[in-house]
Amino acid sequence: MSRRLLASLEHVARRLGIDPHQYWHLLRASLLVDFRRQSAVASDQPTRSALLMTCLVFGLFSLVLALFAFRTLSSFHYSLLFLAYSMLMIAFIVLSEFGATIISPDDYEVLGPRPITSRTYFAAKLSNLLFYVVLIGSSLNIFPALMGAFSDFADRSFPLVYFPVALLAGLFSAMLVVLLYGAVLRVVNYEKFKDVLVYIQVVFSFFVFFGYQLLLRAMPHLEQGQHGGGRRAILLTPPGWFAGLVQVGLGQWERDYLLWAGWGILMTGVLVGAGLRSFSLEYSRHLAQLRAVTAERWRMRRRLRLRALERLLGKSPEERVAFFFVRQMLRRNRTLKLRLYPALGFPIAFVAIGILEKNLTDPFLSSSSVSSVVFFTALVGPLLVLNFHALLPYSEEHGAAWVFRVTPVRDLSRFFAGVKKAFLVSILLPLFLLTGGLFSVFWAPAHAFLHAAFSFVLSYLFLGIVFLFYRGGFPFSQEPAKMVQTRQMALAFLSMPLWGAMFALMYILYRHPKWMFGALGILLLLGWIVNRAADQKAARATMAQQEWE
Amino acid sequence: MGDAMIEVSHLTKYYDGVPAVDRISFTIARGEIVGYLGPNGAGKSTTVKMLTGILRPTEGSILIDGLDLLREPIEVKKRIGYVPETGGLYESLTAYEYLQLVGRLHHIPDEVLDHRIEEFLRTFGLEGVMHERLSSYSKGMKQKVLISAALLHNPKVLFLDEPLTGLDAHSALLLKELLRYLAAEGKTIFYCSHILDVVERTCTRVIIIHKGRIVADGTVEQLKELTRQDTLEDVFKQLTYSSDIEGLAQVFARHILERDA
Repeated sequence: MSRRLLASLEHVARRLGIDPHQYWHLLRASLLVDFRRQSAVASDQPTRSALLMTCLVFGLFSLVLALFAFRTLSSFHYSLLFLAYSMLMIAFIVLSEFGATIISPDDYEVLGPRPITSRTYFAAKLSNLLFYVVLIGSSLNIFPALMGAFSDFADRSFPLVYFPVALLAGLFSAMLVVLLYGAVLRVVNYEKFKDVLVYIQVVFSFFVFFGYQLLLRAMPHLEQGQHGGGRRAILLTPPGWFAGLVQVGLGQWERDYLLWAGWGILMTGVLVGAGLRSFSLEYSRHLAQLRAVTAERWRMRRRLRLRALERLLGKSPEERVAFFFVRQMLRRNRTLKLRLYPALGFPIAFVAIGILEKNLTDPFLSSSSVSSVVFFTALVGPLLVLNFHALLPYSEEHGAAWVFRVTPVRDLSRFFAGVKKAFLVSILLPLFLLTGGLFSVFWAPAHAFLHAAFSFVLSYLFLGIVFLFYRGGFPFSQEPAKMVQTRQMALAFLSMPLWGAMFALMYILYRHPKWMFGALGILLLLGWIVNRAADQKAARATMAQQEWE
Repeated sequence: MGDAMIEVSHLTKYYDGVPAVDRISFTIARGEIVGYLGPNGAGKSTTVKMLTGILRPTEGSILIDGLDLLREPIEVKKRIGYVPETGGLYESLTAYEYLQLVGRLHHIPDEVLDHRIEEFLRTFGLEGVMHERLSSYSKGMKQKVLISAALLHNPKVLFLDEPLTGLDAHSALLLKELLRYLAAEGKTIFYCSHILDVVERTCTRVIIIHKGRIVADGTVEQLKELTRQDTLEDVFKQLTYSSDIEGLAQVFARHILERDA
């Protein structure tokens, strides 16, 4: 029986232009490669454990959220909430973590000259992707599905209806991303494509961190909305279509639900069809295009601007070299970007939380209290400083650091000054502008930028203090070590009293704004002194390390 | 030509409107070892990638063993083996797993495949590390795996792009002897390199490409006679550099010394 089934499946595959033998071995190899590859988010873990951890965390978060929601929302809004979140997460995961599953440059080199049809290759890649979609989709939806059976709308058949619909919605999300890849590859080269992926990963890490926080706070608003006229508008979104499908499955045959459920099924069919037909037939061409040599057009104007900035900020050649090097690494190194850039989204998230909690009043006004959200935005800078300090000595490209060891660096302390200036200009300055800009929507612009300036100066002082503990070594000159995060945690723990003092100072200054400018001047001077001392300390530690080597 | 294995006609590839390969044509017979020479950026690797079906030409036609590569890519790919210049390996697989994947994609029966993998890796001295991941291999060891993968399915035509990169002297000698033996057995070998003396000693014919165009095609002796030069190196120099190398080196040295002055 099973042999006959297998034979008929093989027959169908051949009719679709898929070689079953090659399909199976390609799928097996790509899963093997995936499981042995290092995860992008949890770089020190192999994919298997990272995937397991991701599923566990998603499962746990969904359980917590379901506990909050299952007695509060109607079945439609309950489905909508979880479907929206799982579709978004699946889309981001496919884009960021499993991008290589869809488009792998290795495949181009290895499989390009082998006798494999595009359809066989694409079928193997799609199956590989669906494996993850089902796994992650299940972890995101299993608890919401089960809890739904015990909700106020208490339909015992809810899990049986919701769960398959959630997987279908996951498939829709994944296919949308696959087609998006195809579209992006038509217009950008591979280097640009990798950059786009890193930025998507940055947004994804941000969502992982803040998504549930925002959802929990958005729930009461959703609850109010269900009695209003917003339902039709909600149904215009893809999660709305699938929530409508759940309602139809539960026997609620209202006209809106029927319409959007049908629309959802139709769109999934269209997307899967489009992915399988056009994309698979053109897949080889896409891969070839991916690696095609495209002349890098170096923008002369940009180079001149950077040179002018170097001269402005760097007094000595050592300082300019370090500034240029670290700035370029901050712009191009994938690990650094993934670890540092998501924090730039934190002020946006804190402001969103402030809006949802209706707790975003101007702290400089004597009538208002100082909100915790305001304190937290000032914490982002020191948090980034800690991360930067921990990441600075390590890189996958550490082998190239011999260049520092054979080059006569006259003044190492100036070198470290350049390193820190690059961080200030590339990370802390944009953070300062973003924070000021965001708060100026809600407060007087002068107050908003004064708050941002205060946060910036505190971060500058904190940068000096943290670098007093720098263990030495040229930037990005050591192999990534596993204990980095533990050390970073220890330093974060030790700096707790400092953060407490910072909060107290902020509170006092917001109550007495006229002291603010004086305080800023004193902190800036203190920061300069501490940073100079830290540069010299880092230089001595690096020299000692070199002598030891 | 009845015995032609590779027939290339007006092959062209443009990148962003710039020709990397510009209307090249040649025919290679069964059993020939052809050296494909050119300076960096001349279009060597682009040609090989088009001949192996990795890149689609902008214009022109390619026939391998009488089959049109653009119309019957799968049939052509069954007949060819390719050793790329760089990459081309799943580094998280072991050498054994990688060769097994390649062999299975070529539909080699498992019992034959296992025997071949073991024999090939033993020949290259990799039998002791065949179950270790390729990421732990040196450059030369990876090259040996790539060469094994190209030969696993007994191809009629072999495309080699800088195959000696990273190989130790013993393995390099082994490969050169192997190529001669395979050619004598009727295999066609397209050898892409810029190491002139290896090409001079191994190949029966040489094609020189410069700025995407063929500037010379013939046996080493024919080329020496035509250009009135004594060595292939001199022939290459004359055909591919507009200024003289000695003069260029002097100018470069002056730039280096200028800094101290």
